[in-house]
Amino acid sequence: MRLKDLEDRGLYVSGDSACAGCMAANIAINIMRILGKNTIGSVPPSCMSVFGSIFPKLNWDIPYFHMQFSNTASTLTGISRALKVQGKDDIVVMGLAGDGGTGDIGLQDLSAAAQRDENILYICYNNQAYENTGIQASGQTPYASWSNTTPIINGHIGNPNFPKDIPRILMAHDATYVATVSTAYIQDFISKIEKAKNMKGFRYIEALSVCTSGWKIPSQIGPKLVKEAVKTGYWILMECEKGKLTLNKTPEFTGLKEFLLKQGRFIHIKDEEIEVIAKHIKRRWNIYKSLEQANHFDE
Amino acid sequence: MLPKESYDDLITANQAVAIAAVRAKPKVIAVYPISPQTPIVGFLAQYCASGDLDAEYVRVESEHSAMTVVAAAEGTGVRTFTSTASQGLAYMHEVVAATGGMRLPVVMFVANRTLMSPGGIWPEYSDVMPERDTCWLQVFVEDNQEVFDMIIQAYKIAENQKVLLPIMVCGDGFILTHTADTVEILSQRDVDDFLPPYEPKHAFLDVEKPLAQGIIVPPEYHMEAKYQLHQAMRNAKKVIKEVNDEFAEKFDRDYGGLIDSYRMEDADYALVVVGTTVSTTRIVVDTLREKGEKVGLVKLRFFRPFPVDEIKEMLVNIKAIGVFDRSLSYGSTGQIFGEVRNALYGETIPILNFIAGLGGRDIREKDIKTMFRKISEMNNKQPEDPIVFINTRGILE
Repeated sequence: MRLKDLEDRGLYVSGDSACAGCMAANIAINIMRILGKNTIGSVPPSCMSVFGSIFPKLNWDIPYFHMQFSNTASTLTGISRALKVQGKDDIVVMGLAGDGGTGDIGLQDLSAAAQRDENILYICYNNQAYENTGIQASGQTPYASWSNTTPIINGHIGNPNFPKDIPRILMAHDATYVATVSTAYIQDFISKIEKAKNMKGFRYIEALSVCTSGWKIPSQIGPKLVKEAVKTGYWILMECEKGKLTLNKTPEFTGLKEFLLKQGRFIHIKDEEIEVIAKHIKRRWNIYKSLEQANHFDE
Repeated sequence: MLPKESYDDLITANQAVAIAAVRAKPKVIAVYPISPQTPIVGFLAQYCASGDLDAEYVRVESEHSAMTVVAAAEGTGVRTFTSTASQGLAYMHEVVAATGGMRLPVVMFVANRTLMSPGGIWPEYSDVMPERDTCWLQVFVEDNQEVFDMIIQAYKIAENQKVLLPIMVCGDGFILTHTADTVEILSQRDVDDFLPPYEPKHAFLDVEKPLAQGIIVPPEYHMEAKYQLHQAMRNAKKVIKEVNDEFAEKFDRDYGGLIDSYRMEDADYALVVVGTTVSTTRIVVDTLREKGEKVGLVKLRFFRPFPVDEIKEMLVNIKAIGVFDRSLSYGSTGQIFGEVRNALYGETIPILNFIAGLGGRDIREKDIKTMFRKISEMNNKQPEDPIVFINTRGILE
């Protein structure tokens, strides 16, 4: 499916209350243009559950189930198993959760669902912090970035920790399908969502999402940032299908400083910290590269 | 394979629960092991593997996920089953509350066990009491036959269109769960006849008819939703009686619905008891009656909805009342005592609250006799402090 083939309006309908420039809304719109009517969705407490589903206003024109913060993968499991006994397992059971709901409080049941190879499509919109509750650091918050719980005072550099690599954690589960996307590479985005839509088993896709208030940026630069994130190597585009890893775009590894300094959350950053991030990016790429080279282990 | 016909078997309550679940034909089961309900987890896995039960069995990684899976499956329109105990129930608490609020008629067996601290695996009701405000029906059972019968009845009550609320069937850990007793297993045909297949007529996830469940409801709409929960709980009282009567008519076992009683006709002194302690109390009532003491017992079955009218009617002419609690709301009273005294508001009958059996301490015949002696000595006077700890070191009886 090409971009021009997609319906202009999908089943995530207009009129939500997302912030201007919110990339999570952009992700939801594009996912639903691809998935279509034969889908059941679930969003845990997060920005998206607030801006897209407060009674009586609902932006999801599909059956929609809202549960707790930590149990999206189990919620999808319950729906999926119930559909199976009803003979309706052609329906896509899709969850859309934030990075905290996925990698922190939701990691336990996500791991279990991956291990059991539940027939679900789990999509994480990773905006790299608990943005909904007012910008607290999550397990996906980048090194040296500001948040309300990683302040820049009294010599503190912001977040002292590095983000967890959820795709790699799920690859360690031998998950059926693991991929990352950026809406700036929309054809790659469409291909992966469409592929996942038509697969069975546990599928995980992580989309980089820009939060204007958490990243402290002007509302129009989100699309630019998710492109630069890929070019700098800050966000790796990959997919791992039944154990076979493909890296979809080789980064240029340039422009990291400019990319970071466009974001208010990094405005305090020093060159030595940028150097630490650059090293971390390179190391992570090398790990993925070596995993890609290990594809022959299956043969 | 389990026989399809009716048969008698010497089984534990845990096995009775699992076989009752087989007879009720849930389509999705999610369970996680925790003592003392763990054997249920294994029995159900075997019955699903053997073909006795045609259901999706989900080996979840926690109780939180167990309740989530059954709630989401129920929300997708199928009958479900789960069971847990103690810490497991506490761990699933937020999902328990969501399930009640979403009107999902899940049936869960709880093997009552103390909630830490102090730690322990033995019977107490401190696990189910914190769940009383989550909009679940709660029923206590006395023996293995009642466990089996109540699981079957539970589906019929929960799925009634006037109720549509989840229900937890509460049975004493170990005393029931690990003790074998003769149970009459109803035939599959009889159960099918009593409990037809589940066909949701209300909200469920359907791509042909998109709707949302469980979403955020702002203050402008919130109170009406909560009011309806309370109404459903009220409706349940009538449905519980109807289902009990239909079951009694068909299978000749009448549990009385919300409450039951023993030798209360001309009683002067009465104990309100629940769970397996009812059986011990029956024996004590007989012993004391032989000596000419006019004593009786009220068996409280349903704690939610609480049978206010039935309790009042049963106790209004009693000289003194004792209420047994196997848990305690620290700084207040036992939870059942609070409810009973509330039901008797305006009455001046002397009433005591016996706290006994905490953490699984045995409740012996002589303990029940102490309770009856205490209430018979009240001389028409309300005590300053109604709480009496039974069989507790350092407490004089």
